Amino acid sequence: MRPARLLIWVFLGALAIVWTAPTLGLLTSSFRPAEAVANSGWWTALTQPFAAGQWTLRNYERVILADNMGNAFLNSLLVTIPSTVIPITIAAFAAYAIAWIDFPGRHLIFILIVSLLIVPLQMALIPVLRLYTGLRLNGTFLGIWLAHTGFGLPLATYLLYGYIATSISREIIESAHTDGATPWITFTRLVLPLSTPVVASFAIFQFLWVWNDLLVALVFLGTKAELALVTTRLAELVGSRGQDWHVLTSGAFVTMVVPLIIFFSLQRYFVRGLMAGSVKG
Amino acid sequence: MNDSLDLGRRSLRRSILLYRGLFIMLLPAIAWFLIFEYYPMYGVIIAFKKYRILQGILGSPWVGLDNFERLFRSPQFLNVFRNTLLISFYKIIFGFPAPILLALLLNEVRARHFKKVVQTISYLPHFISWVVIAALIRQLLSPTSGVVNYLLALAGLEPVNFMIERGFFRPMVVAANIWKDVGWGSIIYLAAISSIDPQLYEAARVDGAGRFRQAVSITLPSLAPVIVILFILRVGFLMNAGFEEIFNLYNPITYEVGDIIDTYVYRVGLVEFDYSYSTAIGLFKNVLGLLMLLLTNFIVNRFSEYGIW
Repeated sequence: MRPARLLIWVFLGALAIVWTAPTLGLLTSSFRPAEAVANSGWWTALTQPFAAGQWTLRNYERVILADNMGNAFLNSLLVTIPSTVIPITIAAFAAYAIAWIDFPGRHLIFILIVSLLIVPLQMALIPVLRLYTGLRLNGTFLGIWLAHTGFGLPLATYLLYGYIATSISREIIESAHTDGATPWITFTRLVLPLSTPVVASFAIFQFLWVWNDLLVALVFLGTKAELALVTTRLAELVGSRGQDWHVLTSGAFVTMVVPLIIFFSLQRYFVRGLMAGSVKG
Repeated sequence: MNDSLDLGRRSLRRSILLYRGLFIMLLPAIAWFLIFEYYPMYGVIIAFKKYRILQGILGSPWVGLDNFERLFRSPQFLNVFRNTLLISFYKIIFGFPAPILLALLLNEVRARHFKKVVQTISYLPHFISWVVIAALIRQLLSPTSGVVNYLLALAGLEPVNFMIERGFFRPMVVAANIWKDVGWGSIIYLAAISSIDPQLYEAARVDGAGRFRQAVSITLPSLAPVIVILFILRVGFLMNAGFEEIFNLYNPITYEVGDIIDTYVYRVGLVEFDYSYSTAIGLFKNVLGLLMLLLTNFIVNRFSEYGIW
């Protein structure tokens, strides 16, 4: 092997270690008892895996039950799933309609939607919060579903419109219309199934975005224990239990387990989705 | 003139009738955009008012540019503004070339499995929330049980409490950002590299160019359009120094070097409820951001053909 090539291997190998070590350390620490975490580095658990007092499930028991992380996990699912499904449904409706209605001004509608992509989320928080206070939607799951839907909708509509308008042939849709299919039937039986790839990639992005979000959750749900999500709960634990590493690490792992599952099981789709988005955008 | 207007109106009405079902499908999206995007834009006018909740947006008195005057006179804001630009600037200087470099290096690896493993590992952190990453960093740098201080102790040095070390904050933020996004950012460059015509490399090999020469003379120039477009976008987001990252890493001791516009707006608007003032800050930030985007695009168009529009 030539020296230059060897250097590249060494560099990339070191990079791989630096990129995994913190996550591995987190995972290991989360299964170690308090005394062990306080007295020795996490790597001792890996070098002496069979020594007494190295492993425990107590941290998880504590963080999930006593620190409400289990409840937060359920809340996160309850927030994330509708916040992913609703924007996709509405965006798919809209994308299909804009692509197929032949009326003056449909380009204007599309431009109005695309221009929203550059409006930053932070600008909307205070006005929406004020609106919610009037409607008593603050601190409700319905409120945060609607908000996440609103913030995800421009991108969803943009991606779905791009796909539906270019990748589904007009002949198929028109022949369905000639056969007497209503727009609803055409949409559910034809357009939606044909759009699976782009729907899947947007769903992954939106799901991860909502799951990992801290800002929107803090603003619309707050940190009340019964409404807390994994992110708000963990942020609070970091503040209140700064020294209890064994508990924090298991809390952190509870927070990242869902993104990790998605990461490992759906890799192919999001890379493809990212490419689709960037090539067209 | 009158005729065509009339025709337009008639055809709009006819198409609404014809596409009833489709228009109904369009309605929810329009309602959402009005409430969550256009209504907030209208709400921006409170930046020019002294907003009082009971009087509502329309009833509150106009104050002209008072909020902006307060902004520019506030030493705290000037500091926050400076932090935003500096952190963003460092992130561009160090963070922008990183994924390009990683993509070039990965491209030199012929062993497919090794390449795949390194690539996958490098973009894993993109999926982890900043809350978790902040916890990771705190653990890593902990004065009592962190690896870094463990190593410092081995070297015979005093432990350092990095999280309250002002000089350390910005480098930490920049490094953490690279750690999180370098792999993800490299995907797009790797895809661009894979679409380069292999004949170019063959011709270069015939001319006796080594791998390094090929990377510099073929791969990099072929990536130029992608690099330029991503660079314009990146500069357009100069005013966004990364809310979630800073928010999870800073504390009152490091506000002085780490507080950025977005975190400041959050505290002023959503913690202290000074709506008008925080909206003025947000508006100032976004107008400036838009100007940056237009300016970079103009400059790039001037000197090359790669601009966005």
